[in-house]
Amino acid sequence: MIYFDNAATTYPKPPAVIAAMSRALVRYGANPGRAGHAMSLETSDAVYAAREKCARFFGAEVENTVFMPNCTFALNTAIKGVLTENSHAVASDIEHNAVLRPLYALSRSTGVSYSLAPTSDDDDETAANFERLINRRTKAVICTLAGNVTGKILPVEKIGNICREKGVCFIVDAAQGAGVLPIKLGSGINIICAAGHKGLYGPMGTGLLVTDGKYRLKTLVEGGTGSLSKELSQPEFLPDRFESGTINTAGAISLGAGVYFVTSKGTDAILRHERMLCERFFAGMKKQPSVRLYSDTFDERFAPVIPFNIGDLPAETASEMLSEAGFALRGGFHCAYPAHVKIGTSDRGAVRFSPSVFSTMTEVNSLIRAVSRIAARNE
Amino acid sequence: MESTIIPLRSYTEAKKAVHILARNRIRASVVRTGSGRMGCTFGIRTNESPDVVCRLLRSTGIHCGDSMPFPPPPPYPHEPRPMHPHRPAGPPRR
Repeated sequence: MIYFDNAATTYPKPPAVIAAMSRALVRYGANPGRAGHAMSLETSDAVYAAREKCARFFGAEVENTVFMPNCTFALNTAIKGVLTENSHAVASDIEHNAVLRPLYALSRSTGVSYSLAPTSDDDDETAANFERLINRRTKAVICTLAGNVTGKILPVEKIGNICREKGVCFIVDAAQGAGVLPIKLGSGINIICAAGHKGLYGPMGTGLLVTDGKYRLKTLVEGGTGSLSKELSQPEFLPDRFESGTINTAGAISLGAGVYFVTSKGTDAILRHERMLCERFFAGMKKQPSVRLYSDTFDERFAPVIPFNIGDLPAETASEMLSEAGFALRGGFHCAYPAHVKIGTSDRGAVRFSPSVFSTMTEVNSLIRAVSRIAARNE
Repeated sequence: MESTIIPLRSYTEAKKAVHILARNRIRASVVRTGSGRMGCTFGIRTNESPDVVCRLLRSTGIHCGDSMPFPPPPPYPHEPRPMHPHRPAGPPRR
């Protein structure tokens, strides 16, 4: 199977990540941050080292770097942590359900209201749309770094500067961009939520919430943290405040190896490679009369993600046919229906091409030929 | 000098403290301790004066808790354990 569904999760993982996971399961088997015996301290050390790597990657302090089960959990923690009853939030019109569903749930339960800022090719216009929607009740702005359907990169620095001027918490969903696009705390960005298992090449079941500590977040979960056991209230200090219960220890340690892999390779180099593959794929699809693409070109405005459709085939059918031909691509709505409304695929969804650092030009050329065969059969 | 255990709030904080102290040429190690005000926690064991250590750590934002004198680590197992001169008399152990 040739895998092009890296926007869902990256595969394969680097050998160093697999080795780190295996080593963690064998050697770091004690519960970290709990006991004082040598094995627990050694495991705690390994987790701390991974935490440090992640913190450095996002420009955060080590204690403000929290391991999460996934990016969705991180976003729920951030969004529900900062929004208060009857407050207001602004998000973009291409957000994932990991942002929209918590906002919707809050709107039903605590009177939170939210507005979706239209995004466009003009970054200044996009930023102005966000600014226009911020009002005196706005407590948070949430914005994806890059859309998971369109790949469109949003101007998070411009939006962050607006949020800083207005004193509003700015949360960036870096699920798609982390590992290929530059993203760090600062420039008005207060919180970054990232998936560990996509561009950071960690295992599934890992995510990160990194914060500059400016905004206090309410907790979603309370429980044992290995600290202040006599105290019934959840600790105020991070990361303990948001790491109740035993963390995914092997996951966290191998996520550290993934971040090290990305840092060693360089996000610029990874982006260059994946963009080169996307350009080739885009060019190949453009030559097929019955293949529908949803932008004029593929260029620096986009993260390495390309949605497309084949003739009048429903997206799930097309991806099924591609699977039978030996290619793994996701077809459907990608948990981001508003993004499909935006590009005009609300009726059928789209098939999504998303390479990784391990994808090759030979594989892309094979995919182009496979799409061509399916398109010809469908005519 | 007797080593001291300075309780901090978490493993992460203690490990960060060790790194900060190391950069300032102060040796310390992370220990699990029951001497935190709110129950067991992690802290640092160090031979440096607690006042010096806490002043340094507080300047970096790390909350430095109460310190207490602590006996030095026990000798190797094959050596007889000396009686600690300052061990308080208490009820006989059962």
